[in-house]
Amino acid sequence: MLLDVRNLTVTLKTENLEVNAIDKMSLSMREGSIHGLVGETGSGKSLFARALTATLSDKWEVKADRMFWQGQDLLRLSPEQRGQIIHRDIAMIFQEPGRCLDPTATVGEQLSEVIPEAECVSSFWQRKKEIYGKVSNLLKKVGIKHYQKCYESYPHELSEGLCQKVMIAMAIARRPKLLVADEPTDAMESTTKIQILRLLQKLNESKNMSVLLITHDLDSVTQYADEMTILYSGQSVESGSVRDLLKHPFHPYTEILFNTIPRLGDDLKPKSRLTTLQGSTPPLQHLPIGCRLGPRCPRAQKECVITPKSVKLKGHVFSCHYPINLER
Amino acid sequence: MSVLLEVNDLSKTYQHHLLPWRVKPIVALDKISFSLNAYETMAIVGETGSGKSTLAKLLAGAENPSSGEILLNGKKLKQADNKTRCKHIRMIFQDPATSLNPSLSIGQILEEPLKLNTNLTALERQEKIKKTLNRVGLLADYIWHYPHMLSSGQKQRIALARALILDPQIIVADKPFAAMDPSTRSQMVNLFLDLQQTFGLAYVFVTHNLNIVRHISDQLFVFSEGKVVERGKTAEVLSNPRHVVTKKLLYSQQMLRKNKG
Repeated sequence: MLLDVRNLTVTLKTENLEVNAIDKMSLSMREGSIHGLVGETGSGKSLFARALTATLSDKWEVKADRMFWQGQDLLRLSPEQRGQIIHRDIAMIFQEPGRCLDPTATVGEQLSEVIPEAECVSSFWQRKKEIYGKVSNLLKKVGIKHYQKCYESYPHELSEGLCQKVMIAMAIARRPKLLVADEPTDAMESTTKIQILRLLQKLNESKNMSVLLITHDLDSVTQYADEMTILYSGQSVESGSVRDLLKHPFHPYTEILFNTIPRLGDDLKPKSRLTTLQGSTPPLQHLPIGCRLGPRCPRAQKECVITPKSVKLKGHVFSCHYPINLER
Repeated sequence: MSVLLEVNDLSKTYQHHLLPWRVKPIVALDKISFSLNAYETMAIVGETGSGKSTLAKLLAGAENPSSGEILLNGKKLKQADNKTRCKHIRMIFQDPATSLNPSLSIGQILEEPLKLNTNLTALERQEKIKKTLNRVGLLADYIWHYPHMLSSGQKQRIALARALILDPQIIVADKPFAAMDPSTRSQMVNLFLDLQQTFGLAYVFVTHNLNIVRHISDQLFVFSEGKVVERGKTAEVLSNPRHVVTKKLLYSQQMLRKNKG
């Protein structure tokens, strides 16, 4: 097990309010897999990534039964030790790559900064040349053909897809064990999107680098991920292998989520109504008690005001009082 | 049925000044012609920089065309005549969070087009706002809210209400579903379809999600470098794509859909 998080609770503390933005969420990742983390806006996907990399401010309190990274509990380590492990093993890429890069420096300069100094073997005089070689190697690795031109350009001169490739190049410079991709293809053209996702898949296969793919785009997760975890306003709904979840979802939310995408192959009549979930996701100040899906759930009953325990069945973990697709 | 909107040889050229005396023309849109009826939806797909957003801007009057004409109900739309244009053709933008003024309440946002374009009294305006909010599935109480208090789906509904409030005939939407969650997205798709069936609206959608295009549109235009490379009935184009660009687009989205292994 690469990463094993059990009952993670992230609390936002203000003067007169305490909210559990993430409530008892569990997630476990095998080594060398692509794990999809799916959820709507405000479901705490990005918050999880920030809690994992310890980049949250003091207002947030992170608690968990355990947060094991390769057998070490991250929450029991001192901040320095934890920082070292995260620095060594985990890298992150973000959405809107054009805004994440420094607009005042060329791509080459920014990438040279990332190259770890300990890896350079040559003397001071040849240092510059060696770093240039390493940077162009990185750019080649992420599939940029005109790396010479890319090296000299500023971020605004590159397309969105190229910028994201540069971000990935930065992230893999230290050969991390886990790449956290926070909505890497949000609002991108489909042709660029597929390039980025394929690149991630290729890196996953050739470098044995695990990828945590955080997104609300179900299409890409079902295509590229091996396993997935579905979040709904901070509670984990269901997790398991993508194929099983597609075939036999146990949680009503999972089923509705898959049904909301109209697909090219389906025989859905044009202009007919799509299946939807009524209402909208609750804001952080007005979270319902118990199962947070409760007010919108078509199968909700009296018991749903108590938070359901997670149940493990046939390789799925789900938390619902009234699961579907179960013959008794 | 009479033709609602007719576009003849519409083109847009930008002048790029290399040096003060040397001008390089850039063709963003090259002689587009089409017609659109009420109850119909037209979808425009294409890659970045293919001129699809330019066409949306030209239709809404945000930019002046270099040549060609737009006919609305058989009458030519003059470029300077923004009054009739904005009553009949309204636009919705990609990101509702940035297209709504954060310092105005929803009531004020919706009242603005009424103040500028109609002779209604203050009371009638309030009535109209409440009716329009109901149409997009929101409570009348929302007039006291500010945009930051709403979720992204609700904000997009407000943007739609602002477009609907003048009872337009055509709505131009520039990637309205791009940044939406799956469940809110299907709610919005349903809302668009309902409104079309009740009020006979015509839609021009600029988008890159072929799954949604297939579901909602009647006509499909594929753009590449300012030219229409393929056009026709949506079902026919998608089931039998001829041009390389269409095939590439379809390929990329089918790849995304197909399951692993």
